[in-house]
Amino acid sequence: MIPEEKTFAHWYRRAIHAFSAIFLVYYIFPDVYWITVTKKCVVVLTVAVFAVFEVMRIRKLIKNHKIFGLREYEENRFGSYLYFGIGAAILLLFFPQQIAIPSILGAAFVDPAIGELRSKTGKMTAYTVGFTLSLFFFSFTWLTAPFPFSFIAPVIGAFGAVVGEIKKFRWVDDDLLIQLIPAVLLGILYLLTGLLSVAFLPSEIIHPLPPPPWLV
Amino acid sequence: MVGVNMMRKNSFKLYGLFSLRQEILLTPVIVFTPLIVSLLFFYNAIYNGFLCGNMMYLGEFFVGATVMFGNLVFTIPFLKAFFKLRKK
Repeated sequence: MIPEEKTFAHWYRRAIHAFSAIFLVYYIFPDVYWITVTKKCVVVLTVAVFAVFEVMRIRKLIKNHKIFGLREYEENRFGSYLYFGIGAAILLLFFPQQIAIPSILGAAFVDPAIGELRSKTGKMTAYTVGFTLSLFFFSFTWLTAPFPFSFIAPVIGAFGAVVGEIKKFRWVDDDLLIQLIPAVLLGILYLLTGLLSVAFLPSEIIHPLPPPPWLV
Repeated sequence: MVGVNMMRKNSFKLYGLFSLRQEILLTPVIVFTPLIVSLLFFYNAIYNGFLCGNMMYLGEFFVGATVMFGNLVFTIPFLKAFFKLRKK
């Protein structure tokens, strides 16, 4: 690989990461029964198609099984994009949007930002900036949450996101953990407050587009 | 003769298009889709929210701005690297 191609591959990965923030478009589609069912099916089917593709790639059943931008260690395991997709799908389907939105935004922007800063400014600065950025996403989403959750939830979320980025496992990618750790932590808190009948969630921040008359 | 040259030129253009690799074919998608999605969020915020005096739609505006700005931060160096590679 020539140096220009290496630089391109590097920024290609970063751009794909940021691109994945578009999954949030899920929440803007009109909330009509058949559209709700369709978008849930699209999420599941998309992940299933890429999972099958990845299995075929790993087993070298595809003629050109080398995918541009994949790292060497991803040669014999699922590519990180699939982990991202699985994480985003779990969040979109099973978590309230107040937890899912900042988690997905964090994975889309905090992960590449930390990756860039880690090599340029060192780990400490990178994780501090990552924490701050993640705190910003959670704070905005949880602005209308009842006190003290408007303060506690963003800190827990940002902490979870940074832990998800720091912790490295061979078979589980950080793209999955950076989304799921904050979501699971806040999800547990949500269930506990639910059991105690305490208001926890803020109001929704994305409202579906009103369905056009011909669609209903 | 002119016709033959034209055909040859066009066939090279077509061959050039199909010989592009997956990452190069995906470039317009990576660049333009987030912009379109963020414009959709802005539309919802402005048309259904701000114009009706409803500030509940501030969230859409925030998400749209984040998607647009965040993508620009990573797309600009990506495009620079892309054009540098194409020059080579």
